[in-house]
Amino acid sequence: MKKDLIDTIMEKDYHALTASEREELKSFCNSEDEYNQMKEVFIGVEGMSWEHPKPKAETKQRLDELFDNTYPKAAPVWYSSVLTVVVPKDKPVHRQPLAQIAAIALLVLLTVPFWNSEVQINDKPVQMAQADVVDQEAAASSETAVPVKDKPVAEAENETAVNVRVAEDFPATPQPEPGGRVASASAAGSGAIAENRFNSLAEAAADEHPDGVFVAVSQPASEEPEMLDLLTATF
Amino acid sequence: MTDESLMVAISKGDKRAFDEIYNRYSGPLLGYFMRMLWRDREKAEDFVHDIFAKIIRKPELFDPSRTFKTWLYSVANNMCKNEYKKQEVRKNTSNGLDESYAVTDHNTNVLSEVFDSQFRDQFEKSLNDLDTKHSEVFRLRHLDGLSIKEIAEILKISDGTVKSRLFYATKYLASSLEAFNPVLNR
Repeated sequence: MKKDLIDTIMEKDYHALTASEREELKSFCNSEDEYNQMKEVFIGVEGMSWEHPKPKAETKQRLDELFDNTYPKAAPVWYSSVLTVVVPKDKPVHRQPLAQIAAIALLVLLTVPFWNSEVQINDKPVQMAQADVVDQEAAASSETAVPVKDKPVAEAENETAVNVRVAEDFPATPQPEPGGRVASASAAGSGAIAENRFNSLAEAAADEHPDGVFVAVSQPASEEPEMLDLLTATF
Repeated sequence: MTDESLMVAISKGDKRAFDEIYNRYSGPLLGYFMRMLWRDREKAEDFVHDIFAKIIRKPELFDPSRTFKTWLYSVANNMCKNEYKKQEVRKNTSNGLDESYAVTDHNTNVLSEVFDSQFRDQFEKSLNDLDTKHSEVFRLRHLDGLSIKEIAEILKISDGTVKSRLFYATKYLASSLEAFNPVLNR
């Protein structure tokens, strides 16, 4: 309740009144004694706690029945109770359960592409490991087997390409068949020895890998000068 | 929630809003009707039921641009005026405070209680000695807690008239309760 003149009288002494307040009270009290009398009555009445009486319970019951008849309750629909829980009206949008669930679902969907890419990435090491196993087995089957465990995959693949080229540079040498066997070509010139050596190695590897997939054994060039000449001649 | 927002909720069938409004104003209204209707408790209870029934049936009668408390007491005042017209006789059966209209005092001193009881009796008697227009204004201001402006709006009179009646009643009570000044000065 906004303060009015009564509150002013109860709070202020006569001498503390402003000119406008005195002017307003002029018609009601002419002296300081009258002012103090009124002030005492106001304070005394305000100081007493007037408890309001309470109506009977029957009055409230009658009113409740009237209210129910005036505003009949609609039959509850199952989804209305669900909506009340997930979309409460008394909460802001960002704190409603439905909005939060939708936000979480969106975040999960955004991470799905990353799941697939991780699967692809994970496949490559497996493939590399399989290639390493093949190298190891090929090395174990050859006469001058050299462990290829530590050999980089890229280098092994390059040698494979080189060996294919070597085979193509000697047209007399038949291309490796799926069976992996390569017939020995007739020796000609300085490359004949290297070629024979290559063929023997290829044949040995083909025996181990009937599907024709094999990798040439890596050997130091100092031990195979013929191979070195062959390689340098090719490039 | 404010009274005005509760009324809007009631118009939409919100039972809890009605319960809140009832809890806030049923007691003060009962006291008001008892004062205005010659302390007839039964009649005051009926009037309380009628005014809240009006709120249930026709909440649109309340103008949201107005203060709900002012509107409620205006309706109550009009109901009492209509009852006066029906009765055409003002009963004065008050012999002191009604038992249900208690004045609490935390002072447990026996002598003080006796003194307070006598003071209350004299206070009520003096207030009843006043004519209705003065006593009504005094009660609305000090017992119902309404401001001068709100009283003026309820009774459809000017602020100056309310002040005039209020100060007249106060002066009268001050003179009639002069013997109890030590109580007033506590």
